[in-house]
Amino acid sequence: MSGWLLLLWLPSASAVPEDALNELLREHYHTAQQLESGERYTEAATHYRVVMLGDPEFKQAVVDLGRVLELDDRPGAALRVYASAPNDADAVEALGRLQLALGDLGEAKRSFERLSRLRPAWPGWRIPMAAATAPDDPEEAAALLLEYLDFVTASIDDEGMVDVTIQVCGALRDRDEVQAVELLERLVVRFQDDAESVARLEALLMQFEIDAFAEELAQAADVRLPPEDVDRLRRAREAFASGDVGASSVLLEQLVVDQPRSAVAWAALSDVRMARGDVGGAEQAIRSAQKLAPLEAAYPARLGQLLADSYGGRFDGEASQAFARAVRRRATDPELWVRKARADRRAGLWELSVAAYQHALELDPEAPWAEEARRSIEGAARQLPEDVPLPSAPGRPESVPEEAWIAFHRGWAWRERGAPDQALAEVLVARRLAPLFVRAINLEAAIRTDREELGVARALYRESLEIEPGQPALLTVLAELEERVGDLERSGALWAAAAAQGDPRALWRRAQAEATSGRWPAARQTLAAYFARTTSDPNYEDARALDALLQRRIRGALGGGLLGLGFVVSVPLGLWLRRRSGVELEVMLAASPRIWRDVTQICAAIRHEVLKHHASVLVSVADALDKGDREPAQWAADRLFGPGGALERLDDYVEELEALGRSSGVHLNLRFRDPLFRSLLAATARLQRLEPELRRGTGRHLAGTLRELSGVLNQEVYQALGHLVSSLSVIELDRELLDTIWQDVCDEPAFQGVLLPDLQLEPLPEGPLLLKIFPSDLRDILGNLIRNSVEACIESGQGQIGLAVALEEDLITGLERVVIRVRDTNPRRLTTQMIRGRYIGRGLGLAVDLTNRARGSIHVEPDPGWSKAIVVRLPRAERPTAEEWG
Amino acid sequence: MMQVLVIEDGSEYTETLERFLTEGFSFTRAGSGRGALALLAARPFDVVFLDMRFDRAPEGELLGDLELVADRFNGDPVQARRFLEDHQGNFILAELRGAGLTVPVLMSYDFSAEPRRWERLAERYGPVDYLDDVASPAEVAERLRALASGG
Repeated sequence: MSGWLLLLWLPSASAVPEDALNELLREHYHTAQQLESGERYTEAATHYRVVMLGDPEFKQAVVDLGRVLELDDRPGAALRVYASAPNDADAVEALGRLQLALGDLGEAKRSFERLSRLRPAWPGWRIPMAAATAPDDPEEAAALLLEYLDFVTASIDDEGMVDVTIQVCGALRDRDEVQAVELLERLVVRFQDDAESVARLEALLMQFEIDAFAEELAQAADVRLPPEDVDRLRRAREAFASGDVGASSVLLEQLVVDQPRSAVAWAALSDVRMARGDVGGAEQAIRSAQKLAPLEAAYPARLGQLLADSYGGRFDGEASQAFARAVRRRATDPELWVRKARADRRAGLWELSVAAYQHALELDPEAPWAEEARRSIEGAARQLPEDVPLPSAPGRPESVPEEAWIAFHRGWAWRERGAPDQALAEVLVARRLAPLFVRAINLEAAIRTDREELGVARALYRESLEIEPGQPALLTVLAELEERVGDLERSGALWAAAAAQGDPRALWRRAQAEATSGRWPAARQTLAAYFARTTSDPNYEDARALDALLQRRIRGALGGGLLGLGFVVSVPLGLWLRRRSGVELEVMLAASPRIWRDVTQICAAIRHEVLKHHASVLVSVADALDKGDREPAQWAADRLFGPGGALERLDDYVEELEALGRSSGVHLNLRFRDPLFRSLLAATARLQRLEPELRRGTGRHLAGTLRELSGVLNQEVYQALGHLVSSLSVIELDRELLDTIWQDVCDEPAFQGVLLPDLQLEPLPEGPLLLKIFPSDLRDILGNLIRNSVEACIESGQGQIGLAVALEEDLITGLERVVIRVRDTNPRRLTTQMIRGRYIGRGLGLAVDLTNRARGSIHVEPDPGWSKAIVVRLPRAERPTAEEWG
Repeated sequence: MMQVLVIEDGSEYTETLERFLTEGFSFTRAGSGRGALALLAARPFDVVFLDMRFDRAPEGELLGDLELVADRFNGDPVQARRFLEDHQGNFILAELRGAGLTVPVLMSYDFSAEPRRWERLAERYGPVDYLDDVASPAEVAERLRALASGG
């Protein structure tokens, strides 16, 4: 039996031709071959051994020597010889087969596993592996054989499969007869030209069937119903036919209790249960009928149909088996064959399906389903269409040397295979040979982007655009990269340039922006330019829909007048766009100033809890890895990915922001639309992907990637979050702002036509007065205080109002506080306790709340020359800072 | 071996520094200003590494007069407590100096946006330095050495 698959794997067997042997060894080799053909195995072994030892690279000698040792009845020696070449696929295969023959199944399986790795593209290892697996795990063995049949559609090396299958099915039978039968039936079709094999397989199938059938018959004993029960059955059927399923059900359920061995009663009940939607009950009933009357074809056919129709394809294999039973009972019924063919087809059993359709056509070639059957048979036998001759590809530019051209395409091919390192190596060769070859520059930039080396990628794209400016698609790629790193200004300019050059993606983006900002005619013009340039852009359908919507709305608005325009158009259009894309944080903030504080706190928490305490160690972990110390990486992995770890907290914060968006009626799309969070979440997603490597403490480029991510998280994102927090929570107090607040109060309707007091505004301290407070809060605080004083002055008919700003220092924290004094000369009594106790109305309670929120205070203090001053103290920011929100 | 007292309400800094600065440093953790004062009274340290926010410390452990601080916030004790937490590093530093302890202090807080505030604090409470709180352990080591050597 040795080597019965050996020669079928020619590429490996002929890897080192004997011509490579020196003259002496070649002579030994030929002598060995002659001795082997003369069945003088002992002597042949001596010569093969000389060759094997003389040229260790010539592995064929290992296999030859092992073979003659086997033939010489020295299996132990043969095993040792084969085992001496563990990296030679032929030797490993021969070893496995010998181990199998000797009954050492565990070792044989290990050899075949090794073989599968040595010959990854060769499916044939599954056959001997199935033989080795069958005694212990016949299901697995059958799965291997079925996998082989699925994998290899044409017979290329099926030798031995019939033997193995018979062995496997014998072992499998008691555990999973359905699978065994399926395997045998598929092999019958596969080996249909091999009469001897078919006969052996069919004999086993027949044995299965006879045994199973005998068992069924032993169980069966269908009883004939007595006349009164026949009458009940008739009434039940009549009720069912008239649509009274309930009455029919009552009669039949009782009938099967009284006559539990009546197949017809169970079959009728199956129909009724099915009509009531009780699929499980229906299946149970028809199975009972089948058990009681196993010679009847109708019951397995009905079971097959139920399984095929009711379970969404989950039990199509079982349905196919049921139909197979039915056609065995009534093989002359073409309808049954067609139903079997359909079930086989749905179960993916193509060969059985075609055979069943053929059978059906032979029985009734003119039947209504004949066309379906023929089409299915033809469809299963697809022929490869001939190639259409295409004009040759554009050639290599003259400025690009041949070697660079080839290296460039190799790089391309590696990248397509998902191997960026190999791709980069090739493209660097191309670039060295042809520095101005823009396609190679672009490819390198794309590879760098894949590797998240965004800085290098951006520089390369810029270089490419300098060499060849007319690359609009490149502008958009670069614009996206700039967006990812947070350079929105540059990104915006690039999108605009790309749109000007007619890039479809840039035009689509511009059209969206125009549409959302209400410039609908402009949006339609941009869309027209878009449609003139593309029909295949991924956004094409959305663009069509937007254009149609704009057209309808503009028409409607023109009909309805200008007033209706904003209302009619903007609401649905806004919703339409939001559904598709969502908005960035900035848009949400503009729409809902009331949530600034919450957003600020969440962003500050992300900065403090996620970045400060966790991302800051990435560089140190990378340094430790460089020194071969893995432990810090594992430690960092626990902090980052463990329960309650940094990334889990980040997810929670992102969810909180999205919930804020929903509460403000905004679909916030941080992951894709927001430049800052896109960078943050892309970096953390990348970090997440590194979890297995971090936990192992090993990985290619792990240290470099950690440093790179540290750069993104600790520098770019950390700073950007700080700026965001500060921009939301800091306002500059200057004379203009105070004038504006004063004027706003004076312009209120309540004060129209009233003589208002004068305002005395003292000079402000030098330098910018940045306050840590939300801008709207400051306006409300001062506005309320001023309004209160104005009202008091009007009431008392006298008075003057003054505003003074000064600075105070906190000795412990070093912080400065801005002190704003709202003074007046009216006699209305007011104290600090009255303000804090909310004894008064007029908006002062709100002023207290807002001041509290900004971590400031309000006191009523005496002020020389004035009747009193309400003094607001607020923390000063020297420059925008996010720290205190942490 | 440089003896460093790390004052923080959690243990993140201590764990991180112990893990990455294994040579030439010995770290001792104090969970509050009071604990730090006790340790400093018991034995000398070359330098103190001081966190700013102490939002996990029990109320009794926070330095600073809550009632006095509350007056800054319209009498609101919640705001006052938050202020004490947010600026606890400053309160601890003021307390150390008030107790006559001149050990150099490295504060973990980014004062770069508040240069005038930092000038005032450094003048009042030196020797003192600060580091951005996303600084890597290697940067922390460099600053600790510089501070301890009077740099």
